[in-house]
Amino acid sequence: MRTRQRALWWGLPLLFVFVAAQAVPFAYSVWYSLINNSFQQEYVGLKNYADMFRNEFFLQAMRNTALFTCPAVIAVLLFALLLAAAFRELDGGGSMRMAFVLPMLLPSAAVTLVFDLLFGGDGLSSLLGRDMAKTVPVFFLYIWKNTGLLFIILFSAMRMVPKDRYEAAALDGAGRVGQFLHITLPSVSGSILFSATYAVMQAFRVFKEAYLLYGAYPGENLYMMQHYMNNHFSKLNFQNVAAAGVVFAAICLVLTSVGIRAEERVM
Amino acid sequence: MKKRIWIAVLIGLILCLNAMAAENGSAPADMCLIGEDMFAFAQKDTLVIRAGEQTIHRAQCEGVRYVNQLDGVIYALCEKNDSACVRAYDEELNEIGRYDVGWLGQIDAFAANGTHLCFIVMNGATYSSELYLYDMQTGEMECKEDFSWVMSLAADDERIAFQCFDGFQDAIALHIPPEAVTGVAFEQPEFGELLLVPDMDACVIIGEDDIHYITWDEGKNVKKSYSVPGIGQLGALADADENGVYVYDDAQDEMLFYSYEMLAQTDNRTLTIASYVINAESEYMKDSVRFFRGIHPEYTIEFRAFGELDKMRLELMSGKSDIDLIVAYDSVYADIAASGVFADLRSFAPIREAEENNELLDWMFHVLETENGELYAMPRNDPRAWSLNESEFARLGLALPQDGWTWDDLLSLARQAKQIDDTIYTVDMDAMNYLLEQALRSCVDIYTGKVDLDTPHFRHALEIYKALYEEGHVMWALSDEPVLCTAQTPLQTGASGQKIRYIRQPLLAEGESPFAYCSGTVMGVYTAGDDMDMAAEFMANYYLFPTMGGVVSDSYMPLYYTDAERYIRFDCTDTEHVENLIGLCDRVETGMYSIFTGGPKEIYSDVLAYAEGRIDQDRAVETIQKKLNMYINE
Repeated sequence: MRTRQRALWWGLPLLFVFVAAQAVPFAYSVWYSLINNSFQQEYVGLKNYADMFRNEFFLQAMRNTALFTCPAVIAVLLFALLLAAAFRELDGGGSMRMAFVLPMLLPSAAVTLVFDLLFGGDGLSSLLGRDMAKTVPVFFLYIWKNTGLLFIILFSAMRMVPKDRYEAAALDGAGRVGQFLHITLPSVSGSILFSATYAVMQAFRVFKEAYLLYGAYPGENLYMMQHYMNNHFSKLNFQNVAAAGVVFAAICLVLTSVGIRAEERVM
Repeated sequence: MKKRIWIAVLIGLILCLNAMAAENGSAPADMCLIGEDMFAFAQKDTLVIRAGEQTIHRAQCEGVRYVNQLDGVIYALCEKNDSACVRAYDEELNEIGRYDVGWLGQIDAFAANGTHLCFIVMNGATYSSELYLYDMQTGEMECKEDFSWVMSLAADDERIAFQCFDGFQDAIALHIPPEAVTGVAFEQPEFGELLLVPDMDACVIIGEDDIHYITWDEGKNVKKSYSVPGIGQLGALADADENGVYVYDDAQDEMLFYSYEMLAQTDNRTLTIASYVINAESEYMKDSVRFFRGIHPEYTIEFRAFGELDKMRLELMSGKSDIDLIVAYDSVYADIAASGVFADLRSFAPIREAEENNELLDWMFHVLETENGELYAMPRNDPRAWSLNESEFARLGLALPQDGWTWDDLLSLARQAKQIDDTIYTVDMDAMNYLLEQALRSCVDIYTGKVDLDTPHFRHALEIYKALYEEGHVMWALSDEPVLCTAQTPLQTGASGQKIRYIRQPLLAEGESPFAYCSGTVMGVYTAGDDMDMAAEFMANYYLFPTMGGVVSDSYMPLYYTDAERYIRFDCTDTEHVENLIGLCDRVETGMYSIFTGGPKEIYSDVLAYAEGRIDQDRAVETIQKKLNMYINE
């Protein structure tokens, strides 16, 4: 009991920071989303939400965010998983592992320029169409930037799997693929779910790269939720921004909860 | 010995000069009107009667502090050695009576009403002011204790008027001895020097920056306030008659007269201009206001700077603001206008009628007019047009363009100029952007949000843009040296015939370009010249007034104003030039509601991509259309 009390005392500063820096601003945002404007502050219920869901560009932003997130998260997870499995086979790969962390350290502004040079031009446009062609650099930028951390997480998890399991499976005649599917994947499923949650959150934040590459209005296919919020913030439509923010936060919360639940279940 | 004599003479001389200085320099303690242009002054142990600036009578009157006149008798309140007396004089300052009132305390005001001498006295025990009445017939003194505070006193034959706080509200009280006191409530109390207008149910209060004229009838009062900035600094010595108010200006030693008739003429309204950045202290603004009031004396201009945009918006949107007009950038302005909180400016209609031939002004009035004809806000001032450097055209041997120019004409002239002198650049990037914005204007319907750029007009603008760019008519490197500029004219697009409404700030291009353009910052051109007054006059005529609800972008104009020498190269000092510019504004046609049709800045990169040949025209149109559509409708 005494230990628990002590723990609570130690946790108080963190709790204070959380309330002051996150809970209060978020509550304020919720309030903002329920009033008519910042000046008269008249309660209008869910009118801002209704207006927002009637706005074709908000719906488009939602759709684009979902359409980008699903394949991007799957791709980055697969890539990180395969890399981790490969490096596990190579018994760690030494300092090469560090190379995958580098993208996280490089400034986005510099990297986006490189990707624009790599994927710019009319080649992709003629192949995929102009708007879709703009998505490709952002997609690869996302993969490139996030693979490193996910790889480290998954690789560490794989290293924790006892070797005798693989030896026993090999004695039973299981091949590499069989071992991967029946031993590795179940053993690191918790880490995969955690990585998936992280990857989804990162996909929601891909706005920065898209903005640096194509500005505030990047085209129909790349216009994300954060474009919508950022542009409305620039236009001082705070109620719209707050409502979109609350919806965005709710989506994140649901996805995170699902991820955590699933993670708990497989553990 | 001689030396001592000289020292004695010198000391005597100094003492004489000192005495003379004291005599001349002693400011009057009180003043009253005693006849037509005749005033009695209480001035350091002396009573003086002046007719105009001439002193016609002077009498020794030791300890005189207040002077009052009634029916040809001048009453002077004198205080000495803890006793007070009132001396009565005729108009030649012969003493005709004396009333010893003893020691009352600190007397703050004095007046005589024929039967009584009236005093306001500070009660040292209660720290309140009380009214004392001294009956001149019986010699009895009465203290009126009906009021907790009494201030500022005036009297005539019958009435005694004073400002007071009666326990409930501030009021002017009227007392006609021996009858009861009649209170006349203030709706908006303001204290100052109180003056009764003889033989009229009216009084005057000299406020800080106003002269308030109050009439009453059956207990109701009507207050009219006339703005006279700074009058409160002078108003301590004042008197009133049936013609007007006399205020003595001690610093100038002159009597100022404000007739009720003149005050009534200026009794229209105060225009309050607000902004979060407005610099009302700038010479430029001061001069503009001065000239504006020269043209429209019925208006008084007040500035309010909020410091923060949100504070200003908060007040505007509260619906309780007294702001008439704001100075803001168009995006802010449109946002506030959309909430419908601007004052209805239909009262400006007379000005509009007076300027009925001024198309620009008419356009300005129209842009924010709603369907029911109400005018909620003054529109922004953003007329723009091209300015041309006459001397450069002369040097190049090119004929000056006349009215009805088109963008094609501009391109043609640019080509001719380039052939003669390949160092000539016609436009800068800002100009290129305004070419686009002008074209976009006809393609965007702000009311429906519909954007249709696939028009010959917009495509034509793109072609002009590309030609100007490809052929090297665009000035890229900028410096802060303006070009010479002596005449201006609007351009017309060849495709649609729509005139350009823009005047842009002076082109800050290197070298001597024959083209420049000016905008809401037209004044920048003029203030850059020698004749600052002309600048302010133009501002007053065509910018301050018509744009007070819109956008007077004063953020950089003061720079031009105060840093005139730097821009001395402008040859904009002749009146003809002003007339040219006014003429230009007059020619500007009415147009659509002005929005930031430039839209997101990214569209410029698309147009540049087209100009550089990286994308074709169809793609440029399509891309810009999508971005603009999203920008307006998201």
